Amino acid sequence: MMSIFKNRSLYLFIIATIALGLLPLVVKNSYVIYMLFIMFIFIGLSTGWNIIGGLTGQVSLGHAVFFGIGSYTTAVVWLSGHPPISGIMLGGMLAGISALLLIPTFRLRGIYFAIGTLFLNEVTKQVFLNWDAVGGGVGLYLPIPTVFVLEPFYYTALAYCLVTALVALFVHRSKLGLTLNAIREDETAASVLGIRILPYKILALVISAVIFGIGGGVYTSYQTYIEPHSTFHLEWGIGPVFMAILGGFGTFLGPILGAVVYTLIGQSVATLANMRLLFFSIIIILVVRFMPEGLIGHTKDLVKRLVRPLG
Amino acid sequence: MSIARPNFQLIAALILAFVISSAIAYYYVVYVMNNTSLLFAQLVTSGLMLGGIYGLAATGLTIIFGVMKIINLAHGELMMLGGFISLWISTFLRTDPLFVLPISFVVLFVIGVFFQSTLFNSAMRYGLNPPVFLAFAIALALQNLMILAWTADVRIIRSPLIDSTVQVEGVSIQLARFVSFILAIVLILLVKAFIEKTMIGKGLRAISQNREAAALMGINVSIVNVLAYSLGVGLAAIAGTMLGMVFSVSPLDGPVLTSKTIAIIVLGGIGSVAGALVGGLILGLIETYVGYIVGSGFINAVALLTFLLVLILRPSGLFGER
Amino acid sequence: MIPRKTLVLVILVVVVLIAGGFGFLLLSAPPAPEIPREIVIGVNLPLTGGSAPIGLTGQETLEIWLEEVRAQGGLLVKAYNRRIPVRTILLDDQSNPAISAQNMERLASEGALVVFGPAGTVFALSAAPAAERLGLPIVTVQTSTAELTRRGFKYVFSAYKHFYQDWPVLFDVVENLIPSDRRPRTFAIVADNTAFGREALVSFVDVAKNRGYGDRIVLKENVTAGQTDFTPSILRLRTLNPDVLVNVIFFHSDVFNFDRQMKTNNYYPRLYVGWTAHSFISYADTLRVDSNYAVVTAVTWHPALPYPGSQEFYRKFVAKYNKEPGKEHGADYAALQIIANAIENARSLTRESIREALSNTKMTTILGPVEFMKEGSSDPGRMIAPDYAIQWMNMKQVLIWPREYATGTLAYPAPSWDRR
Repeated sequence: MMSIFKNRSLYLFIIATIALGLLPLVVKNSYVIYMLFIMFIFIGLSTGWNIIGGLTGQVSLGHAVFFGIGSYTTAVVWLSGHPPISGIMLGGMLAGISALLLIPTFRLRGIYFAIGTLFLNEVTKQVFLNWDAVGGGVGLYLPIPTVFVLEPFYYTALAYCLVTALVALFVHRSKLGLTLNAIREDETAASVLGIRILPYKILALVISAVIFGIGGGVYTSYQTYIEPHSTFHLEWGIGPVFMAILGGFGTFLGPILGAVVYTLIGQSVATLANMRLLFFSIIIILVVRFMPEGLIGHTKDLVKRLVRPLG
Repeated sequence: MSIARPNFQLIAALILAFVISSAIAYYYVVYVMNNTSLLFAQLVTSGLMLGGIYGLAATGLTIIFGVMKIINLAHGELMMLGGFISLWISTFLRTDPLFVLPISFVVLFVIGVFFQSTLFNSAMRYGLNPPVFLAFAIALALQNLMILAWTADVRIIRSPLIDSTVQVEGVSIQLARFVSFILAIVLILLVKAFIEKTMIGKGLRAISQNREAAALMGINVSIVNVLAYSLGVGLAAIAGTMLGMVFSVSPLDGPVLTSKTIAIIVLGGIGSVAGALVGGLILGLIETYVGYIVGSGFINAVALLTFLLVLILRPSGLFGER
Repeated sequence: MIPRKTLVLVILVVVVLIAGGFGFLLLSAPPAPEIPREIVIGVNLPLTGGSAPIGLTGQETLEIWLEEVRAQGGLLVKAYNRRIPVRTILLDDQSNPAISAQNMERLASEGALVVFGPAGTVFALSAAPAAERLGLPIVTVQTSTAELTRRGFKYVFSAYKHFYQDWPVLFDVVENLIPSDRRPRTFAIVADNTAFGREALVSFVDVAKNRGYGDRIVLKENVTAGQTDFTPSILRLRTLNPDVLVNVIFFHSDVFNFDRQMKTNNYYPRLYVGWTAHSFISYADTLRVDSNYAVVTAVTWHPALPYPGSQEFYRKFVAKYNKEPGKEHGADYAALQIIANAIENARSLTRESIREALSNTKMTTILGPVEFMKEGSSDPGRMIAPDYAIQWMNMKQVLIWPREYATGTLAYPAPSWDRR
C-alpha cells in the first residue's frame, strides 16, 4: 500500500493530515470549520466521481442517486435506533449494490450515457417521492443531538476525505488505473488487447458509488432533515462533475483542487444577495471558456513556461 | 440530423402501441371507472394536444443536439426568455403576440449566434464536457437575469386571437394548444425541407454524420455550428411564446422544461425532427392516460421508466440513426 | 505521473487560496465596546430558484422597513436608552436547503444577532438545526409546516401560523358564512408531492376529521410538481364534482396552469380554496377576471385591518413599488416588527437576550395582537395571531372573515364559467 506514495508526497500527506486535524483546536470560528467540513465532502465526492467519470471516461450526471441512497440509509438506520456511523457504512454498501443496477446503462455511449444517468436520478427521486415508508415528499426528521458541536462532523468528513483520497491515489497508481485509462482512451483497442471491459467499468462505478453513498451519509448526519427534492438535487450530481472538470479531468489532484476552488468561489459571491447566482455562473462560464482543461492542465503549462527559460 | 427513411415497421409498431394503450385506457375509463366515452374522447384530445406543444418545445433542442452533440441544458431558460421577449415586444407595440413571433425568433437567433461564437465554438474543441457545463452555467445566469429584469412572477401571454376554448362535439379544445399543434407540424416540415433541400442544410447533415469528414470536404464547421445553435435557440423563442399562451412563462420554469424536452428528443431519436414530435406525443399521452387512470403523482415515474426502457432497447431513440 | 514540482505548486496554490479565503475571518474581532455601534441583522431568503417568489417579497418588505428604521436613526434600544443604527446582511439560499444551512454559519460568523428568514418550508427546516447549534435566533416566515416548531428548538421562531392553526379557519368560514341549508357537503383536495403539499394534505385530512368532516372528503388528488398539464386531475374532479376544492399546489406556475386548465375544461367548484399563489397579489395580475371567487383562508394580513401601521405600510409600499402589497408582505413586515421589538426590549444586545425577548413577545403588529407559544407547549416559538379569510372579487382581495373587519360578504356558490 505504501508503495503508492512516492517519497515526498507521503510526508506532504502526513503533514496536511496533522495540520487539518489540529485546526479546530486553533480556529474557533465555526464558519471556517463548517466551510472546511463541506469542502471535505466536496473533495470526497469529486474524487469519487473522477474514478468513473474522469479516469474511465463514463461521464455520469446522475451520481446524486448514490448520494441520496447513502443519505436515506443513514437516516433510516439512525431512526431505528442504531448509531449513525453504522448507517453511513451501510449506506455506502447499499449505494455500491445499487450501482449494479446501472449495468444496463453501460450499453449507452458518451453523451447518451450521461443522459441515461441523469434520467436515473429523476426516476429514483420520483420513487422516493412516492415511497411513504421513508417519508415520501415530507421527508425524514433525524434526532437532534443534545450537545451541538461541529467538531465531530468536521473529523468525520476529514476522515472521509482522506480515505477517499487514499483510495483514489491507489486506483491512480495501480494497474487498475492504467486499465481504466486504456478503456477511456479507446474501448475497442482495449478489448482487442484482451481487456474485458465491462467488469472494469463495473468496478470503477461501484467504487465511486460507495464513495458517494458514504458522502451522503456524512452530510445527512449533519443536516438532520432530508427530503427527496434536496437529497437528489442536481447539485450533488453535477456539482462534483464540475469540480473535477474545474480542477483537471482524470488527474488525481484535479478534483481536489477543483473542489477547493469551487467552495471558495461559492463563498466569495455569497454576499451579493440577489445577484449571487448570476456572478457565480459568470465565473463558471469564464473558467470553462478560458480553462477548458482545468486548473491542473494550465498549471502544468505555467510551470513549463516558467521552467523553460531557466534552462 | 438524419433524413428519416420511413421505417414502416417502427411506424406500424407505434400506431399499434397507440391503439392498444388507448384501448386499455378506454376500457378503464368506461367500464372500470364508469365514465362516458365523451370523457375518453376529451382525454385523447388533451393528450394529443399536449403532445403537440411538447413536440414544438423539443424541435429546437433536437437540432442543437443532432448537429453539435451538446446537451443544451439552457434550453428551458432560453424558451422562457423567448416568451418574455415576445410578451415585452407585444406589450410595447400593442399587437397580438402571435405577430411578434418572427421578431423574437430573430432576437433569440442573435443571442444564439453570440453564445455559440464566443463560448461554445472554442469549448467544443475540448470534448463533450465543457459545453455541457457552459450551458448549465448559462441557464443559471439567465434565470437570475430574468428575475432581475421581470421579477419571479408568473405571466400568461395573451393573444386575443386565440385566447379561448372551442367546443367540438362536447370536447373542449384550448385554441392556443391547437395552434401550437399545427405550428409544430408546420415548423417540423419547414426544418425538414431546409435540411434536405438547401446547401446549408446539407452541411448540417454532413456534420452531424461525420464531423471530420465534413471538415475535409471543405465545410466550414464552426459557421455551420453557429447556424445550428442559433436556429435551435430561435425556435426556442417560438416554443416559449406558445408555451406562454398555453401554460405560462416564469423565470423559474426553465429546469422543468429542459428535462422534459431532453427526455422527448432522446425518446424520439437525437437529431430526428419528426422524432421530436413523436416523442412529444408519447409523453403527452402517457401523462394524460396515467394521470387519469393511476394518478398524477405517478406520471413522471412512468414516463421516465418508459424512456429508460427505450434508451436501453434502442440507444439511439425511436427515429435516431444507429 | 505528476511531476513533483507541479504537486508542490498545486499544494501552495491551495494553501494560498485557503489563507486568502478564510484569513479575514481568522483575525479575531476586537472586544465588543460597551455600547455596540451597530445592530447586525442577518437575512436568509430564497431570491433565485423555484421558491424565489416567497423570498423576493421578503426582500421588498425589508427595504421598506430599513428605510423607516434609518429615517428614525436606528432602533431605540432600552438597555442603553439610545438609538443604534441597523445593518443587514442579505444572503440568497438559491432555493437550496443545503445553502440555507450554510448561510446560517456565515451570518453567525459575521456577527448577526438575529436572522430574518428563512422563508419556505424546507429551507427553514434545514436552517433550524444550524440556528440551534449556533445559538442564533431565527424568525421564519412563510413556513406553514408544523414540524418546524415541534422539534423543541429554543432559537427557532416562526412568525407564521402552521397548517393546524390555519385549516380550522376554512371550516369556520364554511359554517358561519354559509346558511346551513346551502352548506357544502363534499370536499376534495389537490396537493403536489413537495414537502409543503404532502404535509398540507395530511393536516387537512386531520383537521377535517376533528371538525366532523372526515367522511366528506371525496378525493385526495396527488399531482407532480412541475407537471404543467393538470387536465387528467381536473377531469377526475369534474366527474366527482365536489362542492369544495382545496388547492395546495406549491409552485406558483403550477397553480396558474391548474387554474387556467379548470377554465379550459369548464370546471369550477362551488367554493374554491387556494393557499400559495392564490394569496399573492400577482394572482389577479396574471389571471385577471378569472381570479374572481377564489377564496384564501390562510390569510395573515389585509390592508383594511385597523391595526397601527397597517395603512401606513400599505401607502409606503404602493409609493415605492407602484403595486399593492399582499398578505405575504404583511407577514414579512410583522416579522420585522417583532424582531425590532425584541431588539428594543432585550436586556442587552446579545443573541441570548434577544432570544429571550423574542419568546416574551406580546405586541400589536400590523397583523393584530401576536405572541409566541411558550416552551413546554405543543409548538414552542410558533406565532399566535388572529385569523382572516379573503375572497377575490373584481380582481381585489375582499376581507370576508372575521365579520367585524369584513369589507364584503362571501359569494357562494361561485357561478360556472359561462355565467360570469
